[in-house]
Amino acid sequence: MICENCKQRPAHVKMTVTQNGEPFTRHLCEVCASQLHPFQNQQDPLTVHQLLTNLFTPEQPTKQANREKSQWSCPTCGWTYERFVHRGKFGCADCYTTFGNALPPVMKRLHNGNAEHIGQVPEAFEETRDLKRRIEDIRSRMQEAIAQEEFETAATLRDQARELEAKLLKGGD
Amino acid sequence: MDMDRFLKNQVTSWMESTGEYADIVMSTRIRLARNLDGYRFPLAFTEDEAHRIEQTVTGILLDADKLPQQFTSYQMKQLDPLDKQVLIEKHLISPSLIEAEYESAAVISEDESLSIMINEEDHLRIQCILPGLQLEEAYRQARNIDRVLDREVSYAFDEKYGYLTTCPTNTGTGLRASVMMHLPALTATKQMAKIAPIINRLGMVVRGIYGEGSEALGNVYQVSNQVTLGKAEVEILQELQGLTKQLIEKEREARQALLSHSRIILEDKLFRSLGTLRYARMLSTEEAASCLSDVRLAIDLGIITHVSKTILNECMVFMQPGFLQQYAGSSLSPKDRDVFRAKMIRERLTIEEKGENSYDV
Repeated sequence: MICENCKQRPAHVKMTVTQNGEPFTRHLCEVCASQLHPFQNQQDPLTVHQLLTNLFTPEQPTKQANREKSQWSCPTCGWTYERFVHRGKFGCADCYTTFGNALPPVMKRLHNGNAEHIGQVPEAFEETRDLKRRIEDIRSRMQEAIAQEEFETAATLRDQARELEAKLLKGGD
Repeated sequence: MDMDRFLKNQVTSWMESTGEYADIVMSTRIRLARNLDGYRFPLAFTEDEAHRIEQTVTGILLDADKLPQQFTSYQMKQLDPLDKQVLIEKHLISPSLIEAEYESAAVISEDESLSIMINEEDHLRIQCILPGLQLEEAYRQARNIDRVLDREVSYAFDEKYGYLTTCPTNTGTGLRASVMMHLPALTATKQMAKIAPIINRLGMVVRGIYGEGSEALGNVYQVSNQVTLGKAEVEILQELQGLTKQLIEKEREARQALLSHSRIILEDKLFRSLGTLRYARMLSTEEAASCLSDVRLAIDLGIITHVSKTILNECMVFMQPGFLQQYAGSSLSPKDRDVFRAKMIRERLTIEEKGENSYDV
């Protein structure tokens, strides 16, 4: 009998699989069986540290990219890229900026493909976020007004936007 | 309240068997990770930064008049090692808090449901533990503390990455929600091994609580979210709630199946475990946990009626080395611990039985 999977090597292995509660038999060669068997293929469980180190290391880094990254160092806490990768942790909030270019793939792998926060924000940011949204809204209404040649309305809207922008700047410091 | 009374008064609110689905969900825990803006994270900060953070946060929490409860602060450097051990065993602090290089502290509420760890892996770990399945309520209480602090300090926050944390696995919401579940029937029918990988694929994780390794001590598991970035808090809580309810249903089905297929074998096993707990003179952690789990299951199934449900929750905590040594009033060798563990559980059962007998008279 020939292996059902590769259809090349002789089938020496008889494997009984349960699918949807129904048992059925497959005839496979040793090579295919070892690849399909759920247990034989299992690797040693990784430690968290190993896992993070692997995550932080890009698959095939070019020499130049490596040289560039090896020069990254956080101005606030002094952590180098190497240290950040080795520990799998951040030394301070500014590390998020310092090592920013390396982060999106890491975050995606840790968080099921997500790399951007949605959810609660501190109160201070809530105000800024609301202000920004209101300014955007006023701006788009201003463009509409201009398009319809309602210049007086547009001017009022412009003044409103400026007022809010001033507020935004004041809140930012 | 002094430390002694605080700790001798051992039963913590989360050990009660109240709350929804308390027959299967033992407790709910919410943890929020936060860092203060302008200070380096604990892995890189200086002694002075640690001190200033500790002073600032403790000050705010002890002075706040809007908090629902009275809080007490415990400086880790000033606590006796046994007291620290007991706080860990009650899940009020983590082992890494006491290993902190510089100043670290825990600010704990009167009923011990809320605790704020200062200078653990992050500057702040706000935690709320409640009995039963109470994800929303526990989150509400933790978030309340978060709000109080937010008004007084500024958090390390980024519009793209959210709350910034030491470990990238917490970045975003900084929220870890977990439920502690007693799943003896799913374990006995070997279904947990199949369920675990499915849970992982949903962005959540299940692990045996108390003790590492594949076997869950006392059939107690902790199910929690892993994803903290790109999901809103409500979404994280709802997903965990949904999964927990499914596990509850599966566990109940498995319990009924065990009962209907092999009632007498099950009863025999559960009563033998009660016998062991009642008469053994030495109990290892593993044996005690397994027997306690059996007795708890028997109570839930109505097979044993005169023992209170809290026995599993309480004894799982009290049989740990720190509590046992406090109970004994001295330090104990591992062999002595087994003797005192058996003694403590026997006494715990006797109290209940005396109560029972008084009804007979």
